Amino acid sequence: MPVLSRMTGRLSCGRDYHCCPDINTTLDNVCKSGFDFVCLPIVNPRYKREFIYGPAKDRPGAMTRSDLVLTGQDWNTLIVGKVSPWIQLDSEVGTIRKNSELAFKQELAYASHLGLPAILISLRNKNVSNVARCLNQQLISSYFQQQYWIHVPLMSAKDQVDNLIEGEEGTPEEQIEDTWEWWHTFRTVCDGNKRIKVALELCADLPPDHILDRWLAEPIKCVHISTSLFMTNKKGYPVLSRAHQLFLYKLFRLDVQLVLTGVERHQDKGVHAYQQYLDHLFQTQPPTDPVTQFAKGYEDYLQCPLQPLMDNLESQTYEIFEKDPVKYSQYQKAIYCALLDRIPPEEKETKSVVLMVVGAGRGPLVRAALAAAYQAERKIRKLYAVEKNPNAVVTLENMKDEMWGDQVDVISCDMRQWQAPEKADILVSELLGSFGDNELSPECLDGAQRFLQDDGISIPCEYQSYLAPLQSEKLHNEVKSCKEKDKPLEYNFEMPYVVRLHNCQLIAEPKPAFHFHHPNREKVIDNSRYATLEFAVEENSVLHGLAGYFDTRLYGDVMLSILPSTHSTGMFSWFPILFPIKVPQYLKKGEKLSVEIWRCVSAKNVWYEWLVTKPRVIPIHNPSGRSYTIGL
Amino acid sequence: MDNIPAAMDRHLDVIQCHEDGGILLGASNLTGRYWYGSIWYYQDPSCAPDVEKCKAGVQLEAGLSDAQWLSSTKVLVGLDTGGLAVWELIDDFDTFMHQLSTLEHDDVVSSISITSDNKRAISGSNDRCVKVWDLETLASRNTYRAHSDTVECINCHPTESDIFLSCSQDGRIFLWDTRKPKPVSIVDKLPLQHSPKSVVWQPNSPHSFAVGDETGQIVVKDTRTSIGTPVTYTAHCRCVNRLEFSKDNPSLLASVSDDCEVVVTDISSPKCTEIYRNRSHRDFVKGLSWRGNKVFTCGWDSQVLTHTIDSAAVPTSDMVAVATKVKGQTSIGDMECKVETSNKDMVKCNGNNKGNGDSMSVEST
Repeated sequence: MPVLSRMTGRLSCGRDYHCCPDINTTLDNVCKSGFDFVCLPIVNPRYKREFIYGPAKDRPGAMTRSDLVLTGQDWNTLIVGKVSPWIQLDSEVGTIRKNSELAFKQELAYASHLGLPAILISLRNKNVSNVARCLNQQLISSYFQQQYWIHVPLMSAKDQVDNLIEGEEGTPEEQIEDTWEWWHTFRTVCDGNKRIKVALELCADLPPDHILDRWLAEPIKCVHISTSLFMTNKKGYPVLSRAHQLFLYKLFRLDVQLVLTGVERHQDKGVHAYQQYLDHLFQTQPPTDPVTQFAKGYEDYLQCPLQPLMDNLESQTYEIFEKDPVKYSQYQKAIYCALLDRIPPEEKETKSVVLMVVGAGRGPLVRAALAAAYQAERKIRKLYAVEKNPNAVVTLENMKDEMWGDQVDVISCDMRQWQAPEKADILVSELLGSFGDNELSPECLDGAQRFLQDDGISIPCEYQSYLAPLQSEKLHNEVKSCKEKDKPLEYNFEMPYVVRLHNCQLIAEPKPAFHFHHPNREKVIDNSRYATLEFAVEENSVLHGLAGYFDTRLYGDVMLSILPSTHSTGMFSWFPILFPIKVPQYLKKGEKLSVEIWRCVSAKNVWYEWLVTKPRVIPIHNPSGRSYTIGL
Repeated sequence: MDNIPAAMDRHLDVIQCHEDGGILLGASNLTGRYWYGSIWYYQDPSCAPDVEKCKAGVQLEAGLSDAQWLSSTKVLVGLDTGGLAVWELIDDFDTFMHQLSTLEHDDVVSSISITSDNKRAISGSNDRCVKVWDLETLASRNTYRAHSDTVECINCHPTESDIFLSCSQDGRIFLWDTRKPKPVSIVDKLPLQHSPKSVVWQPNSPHSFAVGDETGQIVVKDTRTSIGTPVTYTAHCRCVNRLEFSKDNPSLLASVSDDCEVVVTDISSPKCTEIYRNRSHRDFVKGLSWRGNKVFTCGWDSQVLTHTIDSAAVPTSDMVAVATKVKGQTSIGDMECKVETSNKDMVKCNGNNKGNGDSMSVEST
């Protein structure tokens, strides 16, 4: 199976070799042992070359084995090339640097010639600027879609040594080197090039969770696991510790491939036993929740937020959202509670209510309301289903004919313009977007509350948006790559996106941003908002944008939430929203991050402006809504 | 003799003299289709590396960086696979017979050394580990993770069986005493500037050792902090691959390097004296071994050279010119070479014209 295959329900696992006396035998053995690909040195790892001085620079003969030893197909599907270990591009010695640069170029050129799908480059310490610079030269000059896997250990070798030195204790925890910084320097030098991925090497004692989780926001392509990390189970087979298993489960969600390194340490079981065990872990990973299953294929996929006011939704869009198993049952519950509060038991035979569904779509809330009334044994005298999309009205009219009858009146009109014949007791709407107010629910409901009784109920009755600082190289690159031809560079960074957040990490927990409640009885209604949010940075990290969420109280204590900590179980109607920033901001542990966001309202439209003011101020994004507005 | 390979592997990495006058040769093939290695025994060093004239030879599963005599007939080999193997010469040195092998290092074995009691071997590897082996069984007794990068060289103390030196790409030199619960003490490497590549004890002096670095600088000093004055000189302009003292005259230190040169220096005074320099190798010089007043070297140019060292050499005026040339060469290739005081002295008082390429006593085969 090829190195770069997408996840196909089974694990892709490679075998790493530091030495390969006979490439054909090696490949045969690897395939027989169940591995999918193999990491091999491009040139014999001991074959040091001299390019500058002395007789050795005129050495005759081939640098490595010929391309003819394998078929082209094998080279470009089965082999990941490794750069020679003696190459030290960031050596303090000038001659070693220069010689290394020439050797590095030579090996990358040959790897390109072979058409290898990926090349592994190991980082051994924090001095990585020259290796990154030299790789960058290769990146801009080659058109071949080769990937470069930057091999980074979870913990530096320096911090993994045993405590053997007389008079020295182990490294104190606060002095442990952060290898993520090596990677961060590397990719920053390479300007976040998408062909550069992480090959993360696990270590015996895993760092704390917050260090591990930060890696989940990086473009990890493969994970190196040494045979030395395996323990032996009762039957003599190699197994991993619980901590390693749990981290691997998290990594599996990013579609990583595994690479087994090191000599066989369970020789009686064969190297196949390691591959089998890793595949077993993959197969038995905890099942994903329904939302994850629903979101399969949408991970980190940017969508423009819906603008149902300006555009009419399509049939398919309605269909997807109507399938949500949680949302409408919560609405039904909320309406049920509202009906019980509105009509006390002693009046249930005599009193009835008028209910309006504004933005009825294809009728899911009408059905929920009717079901709630039946369940509550309360009467809805009249149900007005108001819908501005004429195409959806076709469905509503048919439903009325076939099922609802005279109890329901279908109104084909914008709720803001409609002249209602009577006032409603309960006004039900589903106008919320991923950031709560971003589909202009406040403006619509303010317009519709004219025909709500003074003591009438709005469902939802309030909603709150939240923001959290987000790290995700992947999403930053996604936003960057959706640049449109005739638009200025900043354009795509000045609008929010709806996205299933996946290859990312929250730098801090979400904090509340904007709040709205309905009906709004203030004398002068002002739906513009401003919020300033402060976050504590707990680990060195990179800010790529803000993740937005909301929760809403429909009625009583009936809630809907997409906030990670309180997310309504199984509800998939909303993915979070992303407010990107143009230039990633490096944040240091202990710094205060301050974010400001405005909701601006004009006669025609609504937009957001946002910026970061601490620790370093950045230019305001989307001033005057120059790149993005929501039309009223 | 039927297992002798048909051809010599191109890259000669190891040469080790036998007490009876023969030599062990270790060769690897680092390019081409197969990256195998081989070991060879020659009764007459001048016959090496002629396959036809070898006494015994055998192909190995991979290349090798190091090999050592365990006894007059047994050889320990450190392989690129990460394995170690013991081979015995049987039938009056006619045949290599496989005795033991093991595979525990996760990367290339870079160096091996035998303890003075001949009971154990120490190995160092690119996997950053140092391992202690029981030679009887080739079972590992200990695995030490103390270095944080490739272990470049291991050298056991000439008389103390629990003591050895190691150096690593991590820039450090360690003095080991395996009897202690914390066996490692850090050896101050100053005035060595860069990463050490090769270490060796000086015979007949319990605390003195030599170390060569990746830029060609060599330092001879005491393992004890601030005892004695270190001797330093820059013999080469590239990485020092091997260092070895003459057993007969422990003030003579031979060095071989990636600059393709072989140098013998008299370090008996702080003003160390270069008494021999040879530039006949056409590629990296990897193997080095003394016997009597002869130095044997081999390298990736497939040559085995014998150098006769006349330690009574008197400095002559001729030599100044040669040495100046040496000095000139070290500046080639943007060498960040700092000429030490002792190096300048070396120029003044160099040996006779053994260093001159034309009149040297090299038995090139």
